[in-house]
Amino acid sequence: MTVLSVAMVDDAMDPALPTDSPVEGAPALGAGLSDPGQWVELHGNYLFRYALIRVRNETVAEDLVQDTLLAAFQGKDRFSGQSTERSWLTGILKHKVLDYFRRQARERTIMEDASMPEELEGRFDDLGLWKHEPESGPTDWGADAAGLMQRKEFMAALKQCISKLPPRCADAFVLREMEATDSDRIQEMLGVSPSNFWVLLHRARMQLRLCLEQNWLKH
Amino acid sequence: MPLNPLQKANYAMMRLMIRVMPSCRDISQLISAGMDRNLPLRKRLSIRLHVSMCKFCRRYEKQLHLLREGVGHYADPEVNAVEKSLSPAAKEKLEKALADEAK
Repeated sequence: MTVLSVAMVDDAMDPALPTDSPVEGAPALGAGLSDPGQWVELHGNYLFRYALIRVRNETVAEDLVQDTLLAAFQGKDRFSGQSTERSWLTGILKHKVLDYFRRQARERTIMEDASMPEELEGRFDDLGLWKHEPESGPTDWGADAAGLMQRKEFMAALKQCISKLPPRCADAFVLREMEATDSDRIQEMLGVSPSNFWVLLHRARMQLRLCLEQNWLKH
Repeated sequence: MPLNPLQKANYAMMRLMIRVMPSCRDISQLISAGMDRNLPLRKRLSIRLHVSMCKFCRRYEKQLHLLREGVGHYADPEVNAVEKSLSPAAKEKLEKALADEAK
């Protein structure tokens, strides 16, 4: 339960628990929820996968789902029926996921080297142009790249590529692109300066793009 | 693969112009920045001008937007085709935790 104890501090500062506010004429609070005994069966997989995609660790994802279900159970009288049960639960989980990232950032005392690795930097020539000999710029991904991104092969490659990012870089990218969190908020959560944050994102995108080019489209 | 004369000329031209313009390295950074915040008009114009002449940066820009789209699919638990589901043991553990809470 260590996960929960620190989370409470942040809960107090951030009222992001179910935001679905009651409206006049709306059904009574707590109405419309299914039996909590059914929640794992109905939403367990969805919530677990939602967490796992983001935190990239099964044990952590399980813990976050458990925290979410218990918090939902305790707060079930606050459900106003303005959203579906699933999106209400997902809202709580989302908040737990953000808390997890915040705690992780605090525990990471060693600042990663924010500079670009040679693998990326070496694609530019002395003046900062993409090298022409050998050709080191982005290759043509073809007209159907967008369609191929719905396929399993793309997702497997993306998962692999994200796992190769430095952790802080991956966290910044996940928060920005999967959670669409405000940049200011991510900087505060990860404890990085704005300029550092832009470098992390730039680096993540450049590395992911190259990794996908090499591991997804070449096969 | 050696460059043909046209590609050579284009590269030489780019190397000349880059002395007064942002480089591909700068532009790749600006493209990323433009996906997160509003850039001043001057910077947006310099991206547009650069990508109109540089096929690599044109691809780079397009592919970053594709990446964003692909990550959007990946982030959706209903669409993501590679992450696993709860194990039976984990399910049982969650059910027990909820049942204990309900007592």
